[in-house]
Order: sequence, then C-alpha cells, then structure tokens
Amino acid sequence: VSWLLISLSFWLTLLAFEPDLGYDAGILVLVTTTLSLVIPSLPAGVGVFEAAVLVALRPYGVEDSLALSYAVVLHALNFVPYVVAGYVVLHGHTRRLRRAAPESV
Amino acid sequence: MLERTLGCHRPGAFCSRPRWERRASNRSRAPIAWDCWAASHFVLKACEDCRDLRLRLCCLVRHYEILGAIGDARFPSRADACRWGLCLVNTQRKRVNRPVVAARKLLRAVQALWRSRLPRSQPAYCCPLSSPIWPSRTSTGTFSWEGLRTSDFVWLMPALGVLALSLWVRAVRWQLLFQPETRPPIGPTTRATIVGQFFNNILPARAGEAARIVMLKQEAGTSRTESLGTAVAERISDLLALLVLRSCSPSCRGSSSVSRSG
Repeated sequence: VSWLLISLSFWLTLLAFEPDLGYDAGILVLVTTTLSLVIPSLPAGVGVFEAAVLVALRPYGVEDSLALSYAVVLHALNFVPYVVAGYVVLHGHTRRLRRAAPESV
Repeated sequence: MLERTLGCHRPGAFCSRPRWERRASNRSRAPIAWDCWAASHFVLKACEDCRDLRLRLCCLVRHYEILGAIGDARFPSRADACRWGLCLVNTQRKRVNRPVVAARKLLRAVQALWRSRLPRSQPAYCCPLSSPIWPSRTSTGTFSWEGLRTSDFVWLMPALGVLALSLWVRAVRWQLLFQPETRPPIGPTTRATIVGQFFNNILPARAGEAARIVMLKQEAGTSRTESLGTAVAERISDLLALLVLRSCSPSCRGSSSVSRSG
C-alpha cells in the first residue's frame, strides 16, 4: 500500500508537468528511481535519481528537458519535507532525552 | 656546468650575470634568489611532455639574452619558465614533496582520462543537471526553467499529502512486523521512521535504517535485534513489492509502445 501511495504521489507530481500521462508512468518512475538508488551515489542520490527519471519517462515520449524539470521537482518533494520533518522530530527527541536524563539521575 | 652539460650556447652568456635577487617587497615577483653561478642547486626538470630539453633551454637562454640586451634583465618567474617548457625547482629553499607531486600527476591523469573518455562513453543522460557544471558533448537533457514555469503546481499539494500518508503507512507496517508482546506504539514508530528517512536523505548507504533502530530503542525500548530483523524484513518486502509493481507496469511487460492515457 505504501508503494502504491508513493507512486500515486509521483504520478500527481507528474500531472503538474504532463497531464496526459497515466498512473503507470508514476509506477515506472517509482520503480526506476528506487532501483537506481542501489547504484553508489551522493547522499539522496543526487544525479542518479534525475537520470533514472529521464530513463523512465523516455518511453512515454516526454522531452528530456521537461522530464528533468519534473525530476528536480520530484527530488525536492522527496527531500525537503523529509529533511525538515526529520530535523524537527530529531530536535524534539533530543530535548526529550535531555529532560529525561536528570530525572533518571 | 649547465652550459657544459647542454652545450647549446656560448659559454658564459647565461651565467655571467651577477647575482641577482628579487626584492621581497615586490609581491608580483616571487622572492626567490636566483644565483646563476649556483645553477647546480636548481634542478632543471623537463616537463613530462618536453622531449627536447636542450632546445627548450636554448630558447629560454636566448630569451634572457634578448631581455638583457633591451635593458630588461628580469629573470622570468617560475610560471614563465614553465611556459617555456621547463620546471625550475629550487631545491635549496623548498624540497620537493614527492607524494604530493605523485598525487598531482595521478590527478592530472585521471582528469585527462575523464575528459577524453567519459563524455563519449556515457549516455546522454549522464549530465542530468546543468551543462556548465559538467560539460558533456552528448548531453541532451538540460534543465529548463520553461518546464517549471509552465507546470501546474497545484498538483504538488495532494502529492505532498499522499507522501505524508505513505510515511504513516510505512510506520504502521513497521509496527505490525513486531511481535504483539513487544510491539511499540505508533507515535515512536512514526517518529523513528521520519528520522530514518531524514538520515537516508542526508547520508549515503541507507544509514537511516540504523538511525531509526537506535531511535526506536531510545523512544520505546524495543530490542535492537528485533528492530533489525523487522527492518530487514521490510527491505525484503519492499523489494518484492517493487518487483510486483514492475511486472504490473504496462511499459515493463514487454509492450514496445507505451500509450498515453487520457
């Protein structure tokens, strides 16, 4: 279910660029990008992720420049919210641990 | 000694100059004391691509003579000498750091290999971002702001919501993988999943998996071994789910043409 939701998210993002593409394009982009992250790369798969999106959208006849724009936006969508939320949660976790430390002593 | 070794110009023409020192105040010239009489202290090292060292040195010496004849007896800087195909290394002032030189040579070789081979052997999408950063002769995928301008960003809001929902579903899935006796609450599991994604995004090699296990241990006191086992089970199920999705995708079922749905 979670993968279907993620592919739905990919497809919704794709609709912002190419309204004609079907849901299967989102699935293909998800599968390609996830498998491409097996390749050793920079953190967050910078470069490899975008290349995988280009490859995935090529059979659909999407122009490379448009696919690259989509890839950059999709990467940002999958990076920025996670990093912001992760930082907030980690900050709260650290504060909770600090607060709990004097009580345990 | 230098002339005798090279025998390329009349004796004394080069080394008859008095000791000449650069003034340290002149920052544009390197404060190196050039002593023609002590030319043996300078190791004249040919550049790697210099095949005819004698010829290059003769040219250099004649250049000095011409400069002396017109009244400008400035000794060329090291950069000038290198331009003439010679590397003048002052062994008195600075010893050659052999590892550094070897590393520079290696770096140059790698750069040459990179420039000569990679753009030709890589596919067109090897340069997904802007070409000025990584110029590629075969690159066709260039980033265009036009694509961003014409896009409909309203779709990003539901996409973001669905992404958050998928994160929660993942946390629930992870929670369900634990045994009922040791099952952690959904709150710490969700937080650990978010932190795991955070570290997966900023660190290589999926380091977030370890981070979320540690965080769940701190938050809910679950066993690290059990968390590790569930994380491995998650990865395996992820792989299976991807394979199923791939087989379901029409573009991967062997159909040559991918149709656009309305």
